[in-house]
Amino acid sequence: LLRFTLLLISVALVAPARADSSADGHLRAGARYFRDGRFAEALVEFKAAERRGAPGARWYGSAALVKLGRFEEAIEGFASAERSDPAMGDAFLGYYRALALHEARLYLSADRVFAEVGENAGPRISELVREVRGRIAARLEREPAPSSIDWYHRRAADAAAVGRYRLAEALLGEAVALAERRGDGYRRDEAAATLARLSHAGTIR
Amino acid sequence: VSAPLLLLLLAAAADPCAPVERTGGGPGDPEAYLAIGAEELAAGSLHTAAFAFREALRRSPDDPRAVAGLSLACGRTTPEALIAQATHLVEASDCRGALAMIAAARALRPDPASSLLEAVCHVRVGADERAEPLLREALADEEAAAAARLLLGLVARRSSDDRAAREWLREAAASADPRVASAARRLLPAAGPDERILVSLYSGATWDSNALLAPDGVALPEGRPDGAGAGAVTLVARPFGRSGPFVRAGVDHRRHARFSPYDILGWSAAGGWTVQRRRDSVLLEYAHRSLAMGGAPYLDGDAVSARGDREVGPVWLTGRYDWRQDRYAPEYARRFSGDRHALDLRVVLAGPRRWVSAGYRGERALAGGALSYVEHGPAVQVGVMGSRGGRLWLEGVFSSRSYDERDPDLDRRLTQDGFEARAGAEVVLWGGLAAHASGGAALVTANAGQLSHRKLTASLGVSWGTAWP
Repeated sequence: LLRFTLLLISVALVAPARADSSADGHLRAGARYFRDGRFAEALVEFKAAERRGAPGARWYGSAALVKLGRFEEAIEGFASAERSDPAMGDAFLGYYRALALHEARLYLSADRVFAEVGENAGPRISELVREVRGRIAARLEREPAPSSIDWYHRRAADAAAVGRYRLAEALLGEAVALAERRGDGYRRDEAAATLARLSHAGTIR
Repeated sequence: VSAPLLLLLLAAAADPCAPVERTGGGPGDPEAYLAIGAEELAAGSLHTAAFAFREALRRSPDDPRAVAGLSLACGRTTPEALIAQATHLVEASDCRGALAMIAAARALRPDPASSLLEAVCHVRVGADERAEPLLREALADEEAAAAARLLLGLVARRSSDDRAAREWLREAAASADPRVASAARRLLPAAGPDERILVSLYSGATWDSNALLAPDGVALPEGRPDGAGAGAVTLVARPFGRSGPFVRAGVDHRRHARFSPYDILGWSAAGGWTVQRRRDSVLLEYAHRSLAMGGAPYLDGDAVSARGDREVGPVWLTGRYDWRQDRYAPEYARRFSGDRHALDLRVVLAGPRRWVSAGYRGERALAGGALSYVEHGPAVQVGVMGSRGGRLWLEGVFSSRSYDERDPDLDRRLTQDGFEARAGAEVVLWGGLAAHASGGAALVTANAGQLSHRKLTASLGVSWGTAWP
């Protein structure tokens, strides 16, 4: 089921919610702000909920980051949420995750997540998903250029240099997937080897 | 409510920089919002940071950290202005207010100079453990480095790490900044001199419930309780101080109350090199030792030791390897002559007043016939330090020994398992004079029943040490 939608509905039903300092209180406040389009406040409340150990708070905070246009941070947030709280993800949050990947130019990764969202997030979102996937398919019709793959390697190295291992992992994952679409597998082994090293570093952090 | 006023109210609700209504605090923890605010500042997201600081301020209306953070997030001040204000507050001894401003400024723009200022506050309130990492950051800044070294020296001195204190303060004393250099020179004597010549004397008494063991530690049938007096003199010369070459010479004597034929007089001489730095040290030593027992030559031996330790995160890793060649003179003991190799590896977690170490030790003895063996086992030690240099420790050592060949007398290959618990205490009486007490209990079980034994030991002694210059 769409947990995030349910959370928003629960807010609508009980609004105006009484001020509550518990993890659930922060979560509900975050959902209320999110529903009202006040995404910065929503992010703050979701982060406060996360600090109090609210399940799913990191997923919702990452969705707020997407709304704030902070796509790379959202990618890191979703990756971290998937590892720490895998059961809390749903199609609606998957849609936001795919959007973050798409906006950060991780098209193949975005397409994979959009495919998982499929028809599960309701008719309106499903239509949007179909439209974006069509655009991605058109963009990736041609064999990826080496310079394009180089860009992902460069960005991943920059991210890893400042300790953003999850972002680096995502960028290298895209580099591997793009390399596999080329006959010569351009820099595929290099990306896979770096990815293996970073996966370990990302796990232990 | 009129429409324009309603619009104004709605705009204010979404504007994090609008005046904060003083509602007497709201629900929730201001600390969480302060932390989120700092995180968002660091991420460069001023708008979100402002909301977080605003929420903190609603819950704690006069919190200077929230005020500073909100001012910064809303562009009403700059990191530079906050640091300047914080400097004035530090000078006026208001470290709480200063820390709030520094934290906000550092969240947006961390730099070594603000690290130094924050560290000054922590040092002032005695939070040295928070100051140290900041001071290390400040070393990266040419202007802040000299003062950072001075404070690192002070922090090291307060944690009784004389070696580190001396090194930091020496570096600070060589600074071009005359105020820092002068302060460091004033503090240097208190960090302890780097002595060149050391002399120590020990005198004490020991008691052993099973005084006689064969040279390799196997119980002898004639072993019985006995007491002994012991004395030792050691001289160390190290021309370049703690780090560099050294020579050592010593004489020791043990006189038994009962088994006088086993009285010992020995001497030893050693030379080596140590390298001591703040976070690691290495020692390499060669030693020769000679013992006379009951007035006749008994043992000559050569030994090489290599030791090293290194600080890794919160722990020290220490390792020691010893090679020893023993040559026994009496006919009955010659079969014990041979080489011994020992390796001891430990992890030590040490705080300012206590330590815990855990490690593993292995030994390989290569003597003639059935006397070669392998011994190994874990060891754990815990200890506490007193405020005036005294200390108290407990240690447990387990060892398992297995001989290479069948013993013709026992008609089997001997194996032994032993557990030894030891405790000790040292108290500094005055200057270099200290009292020592220790006790131990060992239980050894062997597959030859006659060699299983228990053993209790106790010792009490006084030591005195002095050094020049």
